[in-house]
Amino acid sequence: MPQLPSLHIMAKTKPRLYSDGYEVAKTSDVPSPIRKAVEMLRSNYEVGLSIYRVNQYFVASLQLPVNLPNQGTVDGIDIQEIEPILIFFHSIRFPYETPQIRINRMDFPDDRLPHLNPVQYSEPPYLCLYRGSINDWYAEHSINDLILRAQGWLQDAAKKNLMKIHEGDRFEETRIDINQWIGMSIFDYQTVCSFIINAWKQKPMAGMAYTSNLVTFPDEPYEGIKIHAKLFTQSYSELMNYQTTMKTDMTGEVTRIQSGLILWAELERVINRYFGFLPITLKDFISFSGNIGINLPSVFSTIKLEHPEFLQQRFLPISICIQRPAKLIHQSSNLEIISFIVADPPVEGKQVFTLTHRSPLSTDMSRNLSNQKTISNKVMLIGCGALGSKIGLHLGRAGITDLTLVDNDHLSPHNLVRHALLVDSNGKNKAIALRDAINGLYLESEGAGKVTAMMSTAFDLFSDSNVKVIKNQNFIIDATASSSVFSFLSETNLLPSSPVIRCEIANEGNIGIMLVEGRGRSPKLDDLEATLYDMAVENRILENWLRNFNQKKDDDTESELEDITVGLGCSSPTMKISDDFVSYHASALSIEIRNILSNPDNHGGILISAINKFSPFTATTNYFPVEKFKTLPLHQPNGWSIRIRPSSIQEILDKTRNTSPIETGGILIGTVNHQRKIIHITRLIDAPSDSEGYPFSFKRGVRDLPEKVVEIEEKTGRLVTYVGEWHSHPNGSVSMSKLDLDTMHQLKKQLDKINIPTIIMVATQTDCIPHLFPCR
Amino acid sequence: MAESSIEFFPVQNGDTSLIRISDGKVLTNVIVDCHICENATYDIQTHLLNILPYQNGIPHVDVFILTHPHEDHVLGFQSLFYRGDPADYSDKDKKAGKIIIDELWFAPKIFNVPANDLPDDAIIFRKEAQRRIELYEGKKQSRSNTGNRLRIIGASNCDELADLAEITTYPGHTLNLLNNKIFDNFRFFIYAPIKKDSDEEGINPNNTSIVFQARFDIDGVENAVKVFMGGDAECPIWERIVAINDNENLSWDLFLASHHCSWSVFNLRPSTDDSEPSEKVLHLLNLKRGNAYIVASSKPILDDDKNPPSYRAKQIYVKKVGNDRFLCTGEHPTEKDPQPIYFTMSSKGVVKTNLPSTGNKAIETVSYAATSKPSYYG
Repeated sequence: MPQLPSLHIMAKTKPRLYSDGYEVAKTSDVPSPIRKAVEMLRSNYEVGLSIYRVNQYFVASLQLPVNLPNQGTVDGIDIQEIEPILIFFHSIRFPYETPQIRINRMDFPDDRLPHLNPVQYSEPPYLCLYRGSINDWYAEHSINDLILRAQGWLQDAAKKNLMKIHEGDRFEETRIDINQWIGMSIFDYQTVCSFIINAWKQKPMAGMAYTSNLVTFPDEPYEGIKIHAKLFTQSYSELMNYQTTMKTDMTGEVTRIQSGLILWAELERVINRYFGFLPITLKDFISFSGNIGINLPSVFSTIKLEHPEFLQQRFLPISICIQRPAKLIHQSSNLEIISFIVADPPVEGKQVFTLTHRSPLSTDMSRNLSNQKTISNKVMLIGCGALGSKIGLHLGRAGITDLTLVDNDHLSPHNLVRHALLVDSNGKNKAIALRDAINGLYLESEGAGKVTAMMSTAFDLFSDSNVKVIKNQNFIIDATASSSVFSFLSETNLLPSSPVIRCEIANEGNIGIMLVEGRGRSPKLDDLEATLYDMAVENRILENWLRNFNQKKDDDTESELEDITVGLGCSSPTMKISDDFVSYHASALSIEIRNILSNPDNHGGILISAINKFSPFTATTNYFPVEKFKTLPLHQPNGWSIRIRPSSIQEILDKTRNTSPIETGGILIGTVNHQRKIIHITRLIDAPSDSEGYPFSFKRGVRDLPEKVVEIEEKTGRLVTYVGEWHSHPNGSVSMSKLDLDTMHQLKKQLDKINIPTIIMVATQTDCIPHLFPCR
Repeated sequence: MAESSIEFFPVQNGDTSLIRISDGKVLTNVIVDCHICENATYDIQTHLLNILPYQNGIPHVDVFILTHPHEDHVLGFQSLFYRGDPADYSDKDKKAGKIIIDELWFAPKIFNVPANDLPDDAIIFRKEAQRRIELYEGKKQSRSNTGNRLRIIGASNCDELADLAEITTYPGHTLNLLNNKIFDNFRFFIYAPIKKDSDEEGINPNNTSIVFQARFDIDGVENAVKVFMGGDAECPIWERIVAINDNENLSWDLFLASHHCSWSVFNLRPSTDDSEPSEKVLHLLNLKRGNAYIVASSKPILDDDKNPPSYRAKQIYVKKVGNDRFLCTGEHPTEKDPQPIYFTMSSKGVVKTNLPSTGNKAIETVSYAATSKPSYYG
């Protein structure tokens, strides 16, 4: 009798998976965009059959193949050839919010890896796949691109290439989960570092000091707690003296003095580990500190012996200093300082809270007042960052207060360099702070004020509870500088009649651009964008910008610049634009916005504000009206659409009639949006002079044509290109002849190389019908 | 900053490879051989024009290495590359997307073959090499300019190459000077051709191939990646290489199966004669490090008696590295739509990686081509 292999040898130990505990979602509950995305993945990957439901997310699982170095992973890190991953799709915000890529394996070595987003306890590790805004990146990419990026991340992890410290890369600070955020710890980073380095000079051992802090408790739920450290000392008596003098200076009921601790490990102790999550109980906190060389129980018992009253506080701020192997990304030293509050008794089951660190910063700004006649339009301003806040404040200061301000971000000190608001708004939600600032101007006359604010993303505005508010608006101003918001506002059909005004700053602050939709949202945002790029053919300022942009893209093979993103986020601390540049453009844009709001007959157009920053400073502002576009019906629909100005169609029809019965033709120039499958035909080039027309045939010549086309491409940074050709059948049908098809195949062979669909447009005396052939 | 990499393009039975060496700031690009077919499914010119650096709007490659003057290694040379004085590069060249080769590398054999025996592109190559040699021999200052540089691999008594010892590298030596730049994190080690290969009459040009390893230091680990490439070198050359080098000098992470996965690597007698594979060559394959890769730059490999590519050779390779790590350019990822095979580097060897997106620098060249021919409509 053959012997059966024993079961326990056959069953290979499977890693424990996070998804083992997930609830399976009903297929009918899964929204169709998510279903489609999962289907798309299925054609390339081994995707799990079930889709899970986890809170706000639908979660798909996938077996991701990872190519490892042929001699094994670097440092033996446990990255495997097949990594089980989870894809978290937000039930409402997808595809505008990028799906989260997480690792399903519980034994994944996340504590050894950088570039992970913070997660809560017992959640799967969450890969950080893009340095900038992942949503903006994703607006130009597909779910397959995202998976490829995750694959690249894992391969880099196996190669130890996620971060290269020896090549001058900096160490990534511990990220604080936004959901865990309760407030901030404010101290001057330099002062604290010098204090600890000094202490190490005396004695290179683990140590501690007392701190004295001004604590501001939130008086509104949207504010966080603020702990401002004022004094660092190793002497208890100095602490006591300081506290006494402070008490006499105290004003305000919500602020109080609180002593705390700052702790550090011995000088030799350098910590490489990353912290995917941070402690929330005292027990965790003690083991967390122990792991990085700080003996918390011993600190407590020493203090208890000498100053028992110190530990009787019910609220103890403790900062921990961790020495890293390289300078931190956003700091000037390798010391990382993480601040906690230890609460006794626990609050909501938690005992330890983490604070984000903010360095105090002060800025001087001037204030002016202006006047504006009353207008009846309701205006929503999405994005209250540098440009948005300035425009909002201009409007507010001009007395336009029928405003709804939208932003979901909080103001940080580095924002203050260019933001309209000042340090007293630090830590507040941007929309609410801007609301308060504008309403504050009129506080004495109007009380609560008319401006309202929503702590929300642009996408959430369109949820059921908010849609009433947005439908009520006469104008939407988009100052987010975000390409995902741009796509979203271009596509949404929830705004049938409120024109969108898109404001942004480009070319390192040298250009301010405003795209103004006409009444009934025509021309639409994307029509205006295509027109803007096309204008670079004749407009030197735009040409300069697009050439610069393209040059940078060519020079930088790194993925950061791979997307065509015309706007610049001003929120980044590395973006170098002075406040006056932003203000200059904000003023120019705001003046025209006020004109538009006052003028019921708005047709749509583009405003360009251009600065020549070299001395002597000069600047120009020009407004270009833009004709409406229409969609041309495709001969055979295939998911693509073609937009064109009616005047261009008229031009083609006129030429067809004027040369009838002889055939004629020309060249189509325009932009291609692969993501949304839209081609905008922005201009026509006449048939070259060596072209030949006959009653039943047409030969499009070549004289000077290639040069003209390439000149347009160069001037527009390759955003506007050759997209196809047209010819007439003056007395025939709009169908393509055999010869037309042969020509199409010739052209397609070339255009396939650069992933541009081929368009052959056929015009009769009354109709103009494009035939579009997608790339292979 | 982009990282070092190597990619193998699908060019049927032929070689076209691109080695990219990062110094932390810029990439140095080395193309090894070319076999650009008229009806290729993958468009190599567009690919190169998208990724190569441009100077004054002109695309450049740092080094082009011709392993030996056979058509499967040089076809398309004249359509892909610019020849002549770089100062004469015209607008027409630019529109045609001609790439300037900063420095040209070749083995002496090309000057020892009668012109009738050379394919057209090899004759053109030789003319360009001759032009550069004359600058060198005339001690012209311009000889050290980009677009005029050259290097000879292997010794020869050939008259044309008599005065070029200074720019000749001999087998058994390492070479870390590429296009006037010295690398401390990269080097070529040269195994062949020796003088006899280049000069003796009656030697099959396959066996005059340049055989080398590209060796990368990654993250401070010396020779972390070793890539073996040898044009179309056959069994006797490989056996000699194994005989005179120690194991340390022969170990490898990535091996380009010589002569498009040909049986001649294992034995000069046809495999149908029941000839046995060379013990020495098998030994060389055993010197792989870890889970190494073998790439066959060939048409899809069928179970038949044709050669190259040889099914029996493939079976030997697969036995050494496993089915997943034997990759054929004509089958990757599918026979219908082959794409380049791309590897990046780590301190523990090569990593097979998805090809990154290439940008759109080639748009002008393509639309120039599309609009510079008339279109006919009926």
